[in-house]
Amino acid sequence: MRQITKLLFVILLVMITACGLDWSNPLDPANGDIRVPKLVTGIELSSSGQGATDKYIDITWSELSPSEADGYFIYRSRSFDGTFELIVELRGAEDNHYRDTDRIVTGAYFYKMSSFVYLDPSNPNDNERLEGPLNRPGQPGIVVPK
Amino acid sequence: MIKLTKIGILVVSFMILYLQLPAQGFDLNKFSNPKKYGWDDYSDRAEYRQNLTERKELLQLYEIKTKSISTTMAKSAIFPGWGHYSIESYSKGHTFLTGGIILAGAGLYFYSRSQDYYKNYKNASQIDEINSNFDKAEQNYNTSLIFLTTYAILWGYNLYDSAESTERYNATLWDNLINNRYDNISLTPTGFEVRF
Repeated sequence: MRQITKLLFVILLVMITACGLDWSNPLDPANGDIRVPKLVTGIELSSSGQGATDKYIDITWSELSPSEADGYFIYRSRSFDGTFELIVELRGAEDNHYRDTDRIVTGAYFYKMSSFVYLDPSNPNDNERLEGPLNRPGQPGIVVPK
Repeated sequence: MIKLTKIGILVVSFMILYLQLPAQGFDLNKFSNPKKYGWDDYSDRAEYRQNLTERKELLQLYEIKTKSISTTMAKSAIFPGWGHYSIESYSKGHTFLTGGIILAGAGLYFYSRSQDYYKNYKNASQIDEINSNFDKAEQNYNTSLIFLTTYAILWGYNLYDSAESTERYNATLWDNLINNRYDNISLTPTGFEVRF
């Protein structure tokens, strides 16, 4: 009986040390030699002036180099801690400006941005791209005047 | 022929009588003397007989109540504590059953959470989500492993202890049966039992 107990403890010890989760996501930088997209910085917002009929919000940022990103995602929300929806995907790291004209009315708008890289830049596939860190939620925000 | 037959009958009769002679030496008094068994009178014999009958009944009860170690271990293997319940070791049964349910439940709960986070990790394409989901999956997985390992240790010890307890139970069963037989009031797991 003692031998069985000892055997049981050995099996448990092996189980504890051998078990673990695999880094099975191919987009996980811990899984291989994958570029990690950089944080998008220098984001600035400006809106159409007071009384404008076609309202818009201009978004600018500090562009990244092609080695740092293959494109950008821009998200928008009507509240600081609300749900941010993806409004556009911009391919190419050289962009540093986007004009948002989609259903812009008077009120507050909040944006988040991130960059992305393709897993295989020579064969870009939208299902195989890694999105980088998002800028701080709700920052920056802007109020579109009447 | 007739004379010979009569002679034959006589010879056979003498032979029978001769063979009966040693039988006369059989001591009937000695044979039927109850003192040889330690009985002084008929009431002693009756008492002994009553005692024998009771012991036979107790033996039958013993054979019914005695437990096989393999059966107890099999029960404990299926549900921790079941084997202890079957040998009337209720405190240990409660402990193993409650401990088993809590540990296995917590282990499975954390394992399920870890699998949810791991599924999110595998489907994630954003670096923060990838890192966050993997960290949470790993954290819950390790927690589940601690609970399940503790459960496995409890399960193993429960098996070991069920075998030990069954041996002890069988060893003390006869004494307990004897004591309970002559105790009119006994304490049972469900309360007091009074025999009239």
